Amino acid sequence: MDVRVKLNLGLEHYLNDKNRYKTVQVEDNTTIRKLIKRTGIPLEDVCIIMVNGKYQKEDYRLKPDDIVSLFPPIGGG
Amino acid sequence: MNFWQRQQLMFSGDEGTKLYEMVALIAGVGGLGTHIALELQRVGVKKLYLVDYDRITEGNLNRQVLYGVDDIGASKVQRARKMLEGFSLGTEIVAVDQVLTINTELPDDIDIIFDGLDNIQARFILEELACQKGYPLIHGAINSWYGQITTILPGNSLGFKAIYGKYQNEEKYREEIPAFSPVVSLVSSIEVIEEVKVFLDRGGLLVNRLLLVDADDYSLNILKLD
Repeated sequence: MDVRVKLNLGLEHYLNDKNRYKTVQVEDNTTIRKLIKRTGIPLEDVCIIMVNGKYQKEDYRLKPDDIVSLFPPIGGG
Repeated sequence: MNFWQRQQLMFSGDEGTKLYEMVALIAGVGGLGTHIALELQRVGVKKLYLVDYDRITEGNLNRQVLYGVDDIGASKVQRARKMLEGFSLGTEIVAVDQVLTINTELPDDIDIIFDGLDNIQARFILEELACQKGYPLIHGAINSWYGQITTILPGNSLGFKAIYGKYQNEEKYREEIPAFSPVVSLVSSIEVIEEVKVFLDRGGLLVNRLLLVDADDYSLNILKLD
């Protein structure tokens, strides 16, 4: 199935690509943790996971057409 | 002096009186902190504590709106106090030139605390200090086009653990963070709006909810924390 992924705050650079929006093919029921590993983004760099506008954890199981947004920590002031 | 005529149109008499008696502490008088201080003074709060140990550098001037070129090298809190006092708007300004540590004694007359800090570790210390005293804490943070805001009420909030848990002792994220004034201004304004709502006991607060601001695609999302 296809999952739409939005990469924020420079996470897209891990993919050597300026495009922040990706379509990633994953198996049904794949966890976000596996999705992140597949993209090559270090897990420790992902602080906030948003799926379809809702906060989720790494063990969330993806469904078709989910829209995933990944953020590193936002800590500046 | 009454410069709040326009503001009074949106608050009841009791609410207005409450606002003008408010005492706030701003931890970190950098980008967020300077914007917050300016806004709170215009709201008309009674007293502001400004806490920061840092000195002004050239690199601060793109977003730290209380400082100018002539202030480089000076104490942030002292220059901020002087600038704010120059407006003569009645708010008492107290400059506290010190590092916040777990042993810092916060004043007893505070109603609310603002997070204007620039790193995650210091935020955990501030949360601990606020909880010890039972003070509400309004959190804001920025990075590039993004920002986030939440409210931590002592005994009633998940707090920074739910947001930054795995980064509490992580040094990596203390490196220079991209920042520019319009996003800092946006996030600090929302912090002040949230603070007024907390103080006046209005609904729809960001308690256990994280407001994520993306100024790049103009999206706002409220994430329920758990």
